[in-house]
Amino acid sequence: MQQSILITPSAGLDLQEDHDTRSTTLLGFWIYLMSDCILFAALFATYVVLSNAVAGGQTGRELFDLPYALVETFLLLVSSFTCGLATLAIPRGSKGGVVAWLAVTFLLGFAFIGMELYEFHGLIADGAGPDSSAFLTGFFTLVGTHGLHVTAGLVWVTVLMVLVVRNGLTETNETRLMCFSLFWHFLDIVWVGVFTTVYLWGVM
Amino acid sequence: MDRIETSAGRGSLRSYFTGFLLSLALTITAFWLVKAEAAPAPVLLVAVLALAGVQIGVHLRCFLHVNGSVEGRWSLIALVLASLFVLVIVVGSTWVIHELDQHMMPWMSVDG
Repeated sequence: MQQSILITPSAGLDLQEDHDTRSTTLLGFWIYLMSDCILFAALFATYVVLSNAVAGGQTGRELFDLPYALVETFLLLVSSFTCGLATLAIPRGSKGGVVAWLAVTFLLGFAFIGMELYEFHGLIADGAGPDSSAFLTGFFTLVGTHGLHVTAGLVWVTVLMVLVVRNGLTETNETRLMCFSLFWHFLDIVWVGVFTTVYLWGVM
Repeated sequence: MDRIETSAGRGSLRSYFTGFLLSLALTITAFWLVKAEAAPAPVLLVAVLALAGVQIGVHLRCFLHVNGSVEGRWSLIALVLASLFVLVIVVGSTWVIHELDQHMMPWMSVDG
């Protein structure tokens, strides 16, 4: 927040300098995403290793609802697309377009989280909570960590909408939007892995 | 002004649309294969993992605009390195634990 106040008046600075700063920021953010990728790899590995350790309880085949997970997948995929549309509205200078597409992205992400929480609730109510087997511990940790990332993204996109409405499409806000879009698309990639490894493989 | 040209945001409506449609098709294909039990489980597993791999490629290309361009060189290097780590962690863990499991006495198996 403080940074935006400091940097906003610098819009008249040499464009080249802004360019360099932005590339550096985006590369730094990209490297964060790559390290996050490694975190998810550890969780995927844990899940795969433990996926048969059901401790005599229910297996993925009995627990997972594939069409339900497919709807979740669609929600996240469409939100990735609308997030892309938000970034496309930036060069047009369309502040309203950016905010509108970010709002759609938020709603889709929110619906995704709602479905995920409902699924978790159903599993726990069925006696298949994270404490019932190593398989379910792995499942809740992997899917829950992804869900936490999406939730963080929802908070982030809300803050971005406020910033764009308040300060407009400044260089700083543009950089933030690019970072958010990288983050959101990255989460969709992780979900492709979750949908395949957890749900598709789980019901085979 | 090519303000977003140098960033990772070298997007166009066309690339987003292509990416979206391809991802949709890939997801539905994978879903259908599993739902219809179109093949024995091991074949199915290889097929859906391959489809997921292709879809990740589509996302990287169309949504994250990863390409071989000079400006994107460092992000590509970071991506390749991360993919290598991911591969070592996932394949390595699965392999090691599977081998370990094979050599366990039945009552010590983690699959209990």
